Amino acid sequence: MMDGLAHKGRYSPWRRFWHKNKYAYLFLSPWLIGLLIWQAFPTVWSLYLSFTDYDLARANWVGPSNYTTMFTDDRRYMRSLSVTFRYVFLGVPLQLFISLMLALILNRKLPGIALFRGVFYLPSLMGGSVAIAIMWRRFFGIDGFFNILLERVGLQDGPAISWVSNPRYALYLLILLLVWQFGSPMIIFLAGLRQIPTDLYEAAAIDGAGSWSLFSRITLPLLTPIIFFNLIQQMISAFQAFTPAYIIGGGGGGSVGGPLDSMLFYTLYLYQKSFVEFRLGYASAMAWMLLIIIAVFTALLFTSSRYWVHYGDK
Amino acid sequence: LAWWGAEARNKLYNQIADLYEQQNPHVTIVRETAGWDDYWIKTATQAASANLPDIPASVIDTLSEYAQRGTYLPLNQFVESGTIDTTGWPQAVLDGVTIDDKLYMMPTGTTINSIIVNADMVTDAGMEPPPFELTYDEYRDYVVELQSKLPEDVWATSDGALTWEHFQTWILQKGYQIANEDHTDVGFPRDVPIAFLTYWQELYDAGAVLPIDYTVQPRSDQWAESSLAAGQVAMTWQNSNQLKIFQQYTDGDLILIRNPTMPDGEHKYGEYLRPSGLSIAANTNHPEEAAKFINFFVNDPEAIKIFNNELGAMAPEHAAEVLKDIIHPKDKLVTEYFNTISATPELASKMPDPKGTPAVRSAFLRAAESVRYGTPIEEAVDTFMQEAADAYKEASA
Repeated sequence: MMDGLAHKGRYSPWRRFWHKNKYAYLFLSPWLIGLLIWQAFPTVWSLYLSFTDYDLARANWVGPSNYTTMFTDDRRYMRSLSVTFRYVFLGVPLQLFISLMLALILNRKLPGIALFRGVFYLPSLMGGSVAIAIMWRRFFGIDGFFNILLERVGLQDGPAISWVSNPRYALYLLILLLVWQFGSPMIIFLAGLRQIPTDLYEAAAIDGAGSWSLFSRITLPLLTPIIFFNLIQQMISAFQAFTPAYIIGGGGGGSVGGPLDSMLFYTLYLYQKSFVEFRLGYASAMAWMLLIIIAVFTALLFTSSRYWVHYGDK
Repeated sequence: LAWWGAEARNKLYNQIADLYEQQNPHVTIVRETAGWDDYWIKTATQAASANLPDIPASVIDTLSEYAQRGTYLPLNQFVESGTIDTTGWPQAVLDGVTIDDKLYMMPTGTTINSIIVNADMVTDAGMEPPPFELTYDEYRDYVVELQSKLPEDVWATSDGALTWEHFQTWILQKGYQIANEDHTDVGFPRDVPIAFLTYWQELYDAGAVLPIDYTVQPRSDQWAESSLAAGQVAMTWQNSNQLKIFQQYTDGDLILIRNPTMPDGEHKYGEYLRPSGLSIAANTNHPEEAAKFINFFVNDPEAIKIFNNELGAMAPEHAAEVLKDIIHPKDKLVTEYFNTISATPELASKMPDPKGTPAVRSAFLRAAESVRYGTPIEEAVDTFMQEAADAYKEASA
């Protein structure tokens, strides 16, 4: 016994660790080295760059000035924040509401329902893609289908306008495009609905509960973990949305963000700063700021979840 | 070797590279290609990691952005050693790609801002096509008269106020440059953009300009879906080398006229040459071989025949002779236009766009756009001047 302890003490903890785990790390190494080279290193590097004025040629240390400039001396940055916030906080709740409603409908046992589930999922398969963004702007463009429709119905007054590029409406059309991609949260809601044990409904029905109380007292509370999950998922991806605004807002005078910067998403402005103006240090700072913003809102959601998310076992 | 372009253009680059490999068996040319946007994203990232291909295709718009950041190699040493032969090259063309006294590109084609006019549309409206040269006053009168004769939902001209090259021309005609000598600030006072936007506001209010909702309408194909091709405008502010492409999609014969002249300005004429070409990356391991290939590309008669004015008029004097039988009739117009403009004695000379100009360009277009949506001109210009000054200050810091 004494002997064994003395024997162990001759090795440093690090060597013991290595001795015990070396094969595990050896087998992990292809992935681990890749992670370090392709993920960890660039991440740390971009954090460093965010404190410089890096523009390909120079990289002088400028301290936190990139971060302060954003909020004090960059009107377009504030604009991009406001556009992105409106997109996220209007679009995501609407999208979740629609997808929940559809999930409830599609959860019924009706003939041919499987087909409808598939059809309703289709927009999401394509929604973020270039082709749909192009179709969208065709639809709502100045000579698009929507205007023709308005004209036929006699609702058009005044000269035709291009809905996708009119500064007043453009953002709302992007939100509409987001809402239209309700498919993947809908599928997750559907799966969640299937998880709810039917005996709960039976028991409640025997006690005389109406269909509204069935929904509000059983379905909704038991679905809150799913709602929570979808909310976080969709919020994060909406913060990072790029393609729709890039494709739809890319026309106009040749600058990103659409007319009057009405579609200037955060990521779009980031793109402009890095690949048009080459202010890569500033752009790195913007990327880190986006990470912080997303982290803050995710943390807020997690904190609030204690009050409204019900897990079945509690 | 890397370039931007679509299928048709890729074929030309490949043919030239193949030909060169055939004649120089010890050389293998690795090729990369992408569309315009992707090409520049790729180039930016490659430049950031000192990983550019030996010979990246370059364009005047971003030449200083890259050259002044040390990513392109100056070509002067190759010209002096005779590896790159510049005999028969117009000095104006070479000057246009010389930054801080160093040559950074051998142009493979040069385009010039111009107005493309649908001559048949004008004739159908009962007017003579415009003469090659008009003053700003004559241009306004012409456009307004044309508008009165055009059918509904057709406009006389595209929105020149939203044309960056046209604004630059205006600055030159007024006797200024885009930036000051040391590139730390804009090079013109605020009444220059005010006068420019006011001139165009007058035309816009007269109903002779394509309405903003059409102008900002996003397009997936800038030629096939252009307002010119759609028959919505009778003339458009475009670069001369695009004439052939626009013609493919447009009913009616297209011709070129120059930007309006400013007899009372500092310079009567203000068009400027916009070369595209080939540069050598600073990170190359084969500078000498790269220079040889560039020389072949821009000077060899066979290579010139293959490229055939793809990116605008080709510069060396012997190009005209080489191409005389195979040139596209529209490209012939483009070359004539190039010759006329570059030989104009009173043409203002323009400093190459300094670092920071892309941000200035974007600020200007946003300002001009905001005027269309009702922002008072003075207010829009103040915002623009501020943003532009900041951009140059930042870039030169």
